[in-house]
Amino acid sequence: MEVAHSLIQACVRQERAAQKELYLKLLPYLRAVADRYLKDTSFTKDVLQESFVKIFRNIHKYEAGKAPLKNWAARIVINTSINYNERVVDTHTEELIIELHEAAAGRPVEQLPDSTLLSILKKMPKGYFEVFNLFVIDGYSHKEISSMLGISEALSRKKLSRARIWLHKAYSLSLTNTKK
Amino acid sequence: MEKEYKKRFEKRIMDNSDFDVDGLWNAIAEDLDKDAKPSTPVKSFQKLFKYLGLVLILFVFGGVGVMYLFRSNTSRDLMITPHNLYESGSAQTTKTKKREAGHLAKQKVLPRRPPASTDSSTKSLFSEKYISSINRPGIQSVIANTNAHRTVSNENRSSAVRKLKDETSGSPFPKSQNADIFVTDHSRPVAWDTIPDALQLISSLPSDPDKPKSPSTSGRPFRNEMQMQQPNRPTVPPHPPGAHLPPKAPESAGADNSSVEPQNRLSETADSSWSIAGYHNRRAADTDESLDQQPVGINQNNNPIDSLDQGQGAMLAINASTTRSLHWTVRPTAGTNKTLLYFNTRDDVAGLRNNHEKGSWGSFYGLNIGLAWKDRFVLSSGLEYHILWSRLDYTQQTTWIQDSVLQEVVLNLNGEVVGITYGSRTRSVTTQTIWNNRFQIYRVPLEIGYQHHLKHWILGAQMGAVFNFTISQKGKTFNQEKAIADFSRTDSFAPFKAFQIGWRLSPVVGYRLSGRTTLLLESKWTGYKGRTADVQELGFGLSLGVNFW
Repeated sequence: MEVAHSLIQACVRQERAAQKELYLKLLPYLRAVADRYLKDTSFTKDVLQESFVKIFRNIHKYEAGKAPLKNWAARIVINTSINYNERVVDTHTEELIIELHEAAAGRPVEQLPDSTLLSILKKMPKGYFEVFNLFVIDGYSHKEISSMLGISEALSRKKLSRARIWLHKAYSLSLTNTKK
Repeated sequence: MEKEYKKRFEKRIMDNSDFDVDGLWNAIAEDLDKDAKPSTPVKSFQKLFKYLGLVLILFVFGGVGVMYLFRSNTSRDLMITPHNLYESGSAQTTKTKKREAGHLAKQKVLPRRPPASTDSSTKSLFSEKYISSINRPGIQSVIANTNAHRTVSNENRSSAVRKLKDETSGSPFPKSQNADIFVTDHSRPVAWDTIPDALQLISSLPSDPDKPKSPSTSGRPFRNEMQMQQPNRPTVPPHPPGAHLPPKAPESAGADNSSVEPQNRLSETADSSWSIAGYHNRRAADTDESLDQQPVGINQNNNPIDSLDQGQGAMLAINASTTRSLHWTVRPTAGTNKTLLYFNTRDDVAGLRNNHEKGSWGSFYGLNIGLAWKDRFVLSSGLEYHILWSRLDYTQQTTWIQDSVLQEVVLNLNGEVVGITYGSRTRSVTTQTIWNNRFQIYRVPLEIGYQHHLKHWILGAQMGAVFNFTISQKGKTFNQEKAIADFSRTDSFAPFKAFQIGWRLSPVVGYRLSGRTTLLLESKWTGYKGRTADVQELGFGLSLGVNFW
């Protein structure tokens, strides 16, 4: 997804038509990011609205040489989503296990639909979920994660390790139950 | 598994067919319209600069206006303070000058007394005892004026006298007129008998060649004399030498009813301490017919006071300029401040924030400009930059009961799980959030104050209003859902408003390093109402004041 420099400059000048064009261009990707990071997807629209306002207000700070605009915008969405996740209380693991059994149904992970994979991911404890998302899917370093979440790098590593164990156990359990 | 997640979700995009794209855009556009943030740093401070400019302009205009009014009032406040007008110009001997110098050197207030003289026949024109016996409106007017303003700054007298000489050497008074010049100064009291010294110096004023000289003044270039006049009173000839009180003067027909009010302003000098403010212009006072010649005293040389009717007498009035009373002060200042936050929303969030968010120490820097009156009363403003901090320290423990796998039985041969034991466990997660929140504020104070001087030390206090412009606030706090969330300048749950008006009380202790510079230790107690918090600051600052006249 390439965004023309002229379009960015027009957005810097606060031209409304250019802003809408950029909005339409970024929306599918940013919506997916928000959907992935939000534990409660009912906040998706709020997060996107807040994120786009931030993007358009701060687009003059964007430095084209450092990263694509898509990634810069995604980071804003991620940060906003993480803030919204603070409002969501973790659901109990019991619920997860039941859902997992039903969803996985003994199938290998490659055969599971995106929605199921995402649903399983979102059942992960909040701390693990964010670090897993940031590190494994979006490729942020522990240093970046520590600054984004306000935690130490060591804690970021620890959470990632626990997230992996949690996920592995969850799938092992699911597969075992299915075989039985 | 991780690879599968990355492959599927890293570049995932979502189809917008089931999404209200236009509705979201409308909401975004509305937000952008409502509080669009200007794109350039200059624009972002436009509003701030407008406020600052307005306050500073008001302050400068106010200061200039006060200074102008103060000086104008003083210039109009004329008075008459002659008392030893018996010395003629030619009698300004070296001895007299030395005596004058002695007077000028005196800084203390001298007792009110008649002029020192061994001659019993000499009386001060304004000796209280003597004057009280004179029941004449013209004289009473003079007395009233004199008593009302019997103050002269000794330290400024020499310059004033010099100025007077300069001013009068060109004979500024119209001929055939009596010119009364007045002496006034509000700043310091002075001895009653020191005032004439200044007046004596104008004795070098040229006498009116057209006028007949009285016997006592004939041959002298100018007479420093005073006359009292009253309408319809006859002129009395000069008294014989040695007479204490001359005989009653005959009534004079056609006496002039000249006013004793100042009619002209002679000059106003740029001297910082003294200036000639005005004189009486007594028309026809130089004729015997037109003057009230009631004798009022005889000088040391036995010259009758009535000889003043020769029209050459001049009363000097020196207006002490007050430019020294008002001066500007510029004070660079810096210090540290402790922020105290009291969250005031009527909900549980405020309690949560009060328990877990505390103000901490910050710093400030600024430049204050003050207008000091008589070095005691101060009106000050300026621009200060404050960095305030608060610390959020919140430990949250979430506990729940979880059904979980208590035991797994694994067959060692192939690693397959063959047995699982389920049970319930009480799980808890403890999360501690520690965050330092930062607030940057531009502040414009507008204060009045009083300073008391004890030798080199200064004790004082200032109080007034402060205008706060929050340029940045960033950190974490509790939002309305009691969750910890980031806040920025515009967030509704951020502690500070973009603009706040508050109050400030500042006790001050200072030490005068020199005539112009002062080192001040200030304690600033500031309070204002923020968006979600009542804020108080306790600051301690050090400032260096430099005075400008």
